[in-house]
Amino acid sequence: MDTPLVSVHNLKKYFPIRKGLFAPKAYKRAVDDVSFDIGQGQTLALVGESGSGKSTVGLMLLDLLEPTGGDIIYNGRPFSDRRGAERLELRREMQVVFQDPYSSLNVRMTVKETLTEGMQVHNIGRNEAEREARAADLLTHVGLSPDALRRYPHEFSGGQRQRIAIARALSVEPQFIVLDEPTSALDVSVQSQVLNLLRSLQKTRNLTFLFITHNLAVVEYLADYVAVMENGRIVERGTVDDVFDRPQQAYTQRLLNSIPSLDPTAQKLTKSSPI
Amino acid sequence: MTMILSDIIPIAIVGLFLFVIIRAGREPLWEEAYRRLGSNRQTMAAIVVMSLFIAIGILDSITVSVSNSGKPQTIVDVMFRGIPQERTYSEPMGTVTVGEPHPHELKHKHIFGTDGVGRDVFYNMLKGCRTAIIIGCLTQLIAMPVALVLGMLAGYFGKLTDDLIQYAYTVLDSIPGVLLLIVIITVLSLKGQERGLLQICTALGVTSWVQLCRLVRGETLKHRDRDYVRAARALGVSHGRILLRHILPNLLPILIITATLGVSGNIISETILTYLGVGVPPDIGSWGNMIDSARMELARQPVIWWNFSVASLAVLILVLCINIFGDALRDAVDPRLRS
Amino acid sequence: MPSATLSTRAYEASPNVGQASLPVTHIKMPDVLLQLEDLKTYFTVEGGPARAVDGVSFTVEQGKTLAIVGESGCGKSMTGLSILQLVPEPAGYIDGGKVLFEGKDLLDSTWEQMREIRGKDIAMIFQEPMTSLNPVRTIGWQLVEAMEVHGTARGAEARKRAMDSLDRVGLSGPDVVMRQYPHELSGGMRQRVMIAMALSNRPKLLIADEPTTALDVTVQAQILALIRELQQETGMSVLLITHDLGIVAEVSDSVAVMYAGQVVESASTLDLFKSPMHPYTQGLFASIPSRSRRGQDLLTLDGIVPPATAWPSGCRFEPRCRHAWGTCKSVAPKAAPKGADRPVRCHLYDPDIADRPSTSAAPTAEVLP
Repeated sequence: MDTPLVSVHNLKKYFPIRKGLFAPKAYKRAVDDVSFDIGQGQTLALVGESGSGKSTVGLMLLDLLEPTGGDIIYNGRPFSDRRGAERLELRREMQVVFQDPYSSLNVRMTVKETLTEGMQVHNIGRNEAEREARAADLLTHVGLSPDALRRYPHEFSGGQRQRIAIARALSVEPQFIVLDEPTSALDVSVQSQVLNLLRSLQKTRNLTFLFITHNLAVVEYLADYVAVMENGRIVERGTVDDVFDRPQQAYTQRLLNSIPSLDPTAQKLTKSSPI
Repeated sequence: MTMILSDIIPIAIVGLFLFVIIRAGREPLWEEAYRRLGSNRQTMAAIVVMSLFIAIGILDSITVSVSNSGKPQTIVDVMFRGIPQERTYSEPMGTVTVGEPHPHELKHKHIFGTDGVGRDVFYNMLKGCRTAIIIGCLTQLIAMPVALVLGMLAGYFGKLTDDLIQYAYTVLDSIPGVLLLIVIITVLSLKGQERGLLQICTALGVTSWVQLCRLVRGETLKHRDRDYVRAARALGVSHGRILLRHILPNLLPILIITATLGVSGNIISETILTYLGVGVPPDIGSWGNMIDSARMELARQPVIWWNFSVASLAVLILVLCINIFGDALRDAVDPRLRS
Repeated sequence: MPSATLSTRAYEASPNVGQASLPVTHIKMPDVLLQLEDLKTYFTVEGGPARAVDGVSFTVEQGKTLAIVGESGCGKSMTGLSILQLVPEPAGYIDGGKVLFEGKDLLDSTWEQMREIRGKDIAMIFQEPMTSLNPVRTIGWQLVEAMEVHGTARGAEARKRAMDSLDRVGLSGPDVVMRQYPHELSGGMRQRVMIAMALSNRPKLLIADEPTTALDVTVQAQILALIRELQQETGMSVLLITHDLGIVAEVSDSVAVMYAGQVVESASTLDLFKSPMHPYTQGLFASIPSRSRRGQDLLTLDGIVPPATAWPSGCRFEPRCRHAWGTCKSVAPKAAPKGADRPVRCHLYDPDIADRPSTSAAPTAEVLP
């Protein structure tokens, strides 16, 4: 593999736990020595249950959370190497889509304002009219009509809001997008629309995705590589076929066993109940 | 028509509020809130009464002419030109003066009677409107920016900034309020400046921002970790812009409601301050002064009750209306009460 | 009490009925615990009544699990709440229909009678246990209270039963848990406590409204297994409300698919998964991502659910249906047409509809994952 777009080395995030005035300092190891690479145009799925630290990894990758240790290298250069305007440039290249469509958009801003805000920060488009045109364009690409520009988020459904969030992420023309459970809050029929959209966007724009989720069905459909996290560490990684067909770790096996199958004749969950 | 500075301020304040209200009406949140307010009869009644008081206050701010003794005459003064000053107290709708060894005939009917120097009590009450409204609103205008800025900084940046600001206002809050008020007002009046409305408003403002600051800080904390703020950070939006465009608009509901309710608190505070002797000086008409005079008046024989009753009633009505309005506003803006 | 003659509606609703040609009176109905007939629950909102539940009928048999499957806005949760008459007032109200529990219509019951039934004969568990449990009371207190309120047990006996039930739901160290507060437990543990509480009075019917949606996948598996085991042990029936077809396959005996306030398809679980008939059900199956669909677009259901204040006239699924034709817009389909061997609310299976297209809506390989 030639130089990966995103490279993470020994990433750590420890949160101090306050025990009392005189107790020794204790830490919660939310992320404990995580390393992985993502090649350009690929999708890495970061899988784990709640408390595994996967969302924290995402936040650090987006430079929204300061790591306690380790390096994040983007396009060959570590974060720490970039300062000021170069750091800002990073923000243009790395974007995010969050889980909850109801809190990921500012309800007091119109769709147009939401979509053009990033453009204003990064000086995309020479004037307001051009930016508006680009915003309209983005909306059509995510399957919404351009007259949504004048409306407010509360006028849209959950699935439509997620599309707006995706459009916002695309508004600054990023290379890499962190998707933190983007479809978990959506109905399955809406989820399929959003997944199709993500797939097509990735193809046409050669985007790289870090897909954080606990939904293994989505992982096996969409991702190229999988990394399984438990308690802040990656316990298994590989291609989707490798991990799903030949899991090496007991935890991975347990995860895979827990997925309800769509075959009512093989009610495997109820046969054995591991506690 | 000569407009003195003190005339412009009240009108400017009212103009500012109107501007904010109309501007806010463009947002769907406020549009719906206004609709809800309009549909409630009790609220509309409160708004109408409040507007009456405000109207009187504005009328009392426009100087029309100058009297013989050099005092500026406002529209209210002009309205009452026909009602002469009597010798001394008289009962509401009375015909003779009271409290004198020999009662004298009154020159004119006075609905609420007259005070110790024979001035019509109704006239006094109307003159007090302006004072009450100015104190209520100007204080908030002084306190709000301070509370807003400090609260947002403390909530958004956390850590050291938060610690410092919290320390500052906790200390301030620990000093007995009334004591602090007296000290500030006295200090501000020392340098030859007469004790006027501005000094009182400043003092009240400085001591009342803490409560609002705490609220702002709490709300900011709540919104700081919301996904859309994170998304804005990820887009590269600067802290300042986030505070202004993302956090502040979400603080507005709580700001407006607390400010509205704060106005009524300030009006009451003024009466207390006057009672303590550091309130509005007697030459500026105020309800506080009218109530203060009750100290002597209620001990007289016969009891002079109408002066302070009318003033108390005025305070009661205005504060009640403001509180009803504030409560209704809070309910109207609450997103949870929406279907 | 089993009845020899059946109303036609019960016939339509029961998923276990075989060919349409069998005469009605010869069928011996298995023991029916709960039967909904044409239940309607509406909400008074701006713009007219929101018909959240609009004529829902189904049957839950003794000792079996019926799953109600649907997406948000279909009315499944409100159906569950309506059974126990927990519809949020004053905006919500039950407009009509019958809720027959052991033959008796619950909608005829007094408040006192319903209070008796709730928590005792019919228990309900919800999606978010944190809001269902009182945060300022210990687990033990809440379990004991659940029993004392219904007179099932008191004092020391109640405490013993509470500990036993905590043990039965798989919580280790039940004596410790009894003294803990809800926030000290994990999501999975809280849900187990909910189940323990629900089961403490040995209900005949358990209504579970999305009980595992908020839980991790491994915990979900354990909770589902637990519910299934307890069902087999106590012989109670379960009404499981969910949006997840995987869960339906794993734990249910029969299914009712809901869309836009109505049941659009009912079947035994095996039948539904072998051949889903209604276009909406087929669309749901087609939307599920899986490895076999890698590299291709998932077949989607375009559009969104219409608002409950304005259900489309005619077939409610018509705006999103790829098989729709003229009649679908104007005529509402029957709940159980003659052309299908089970209730499917679709004109494609109704021989009485004149202009039915010849292509049937049989599921093709692309629909099933």
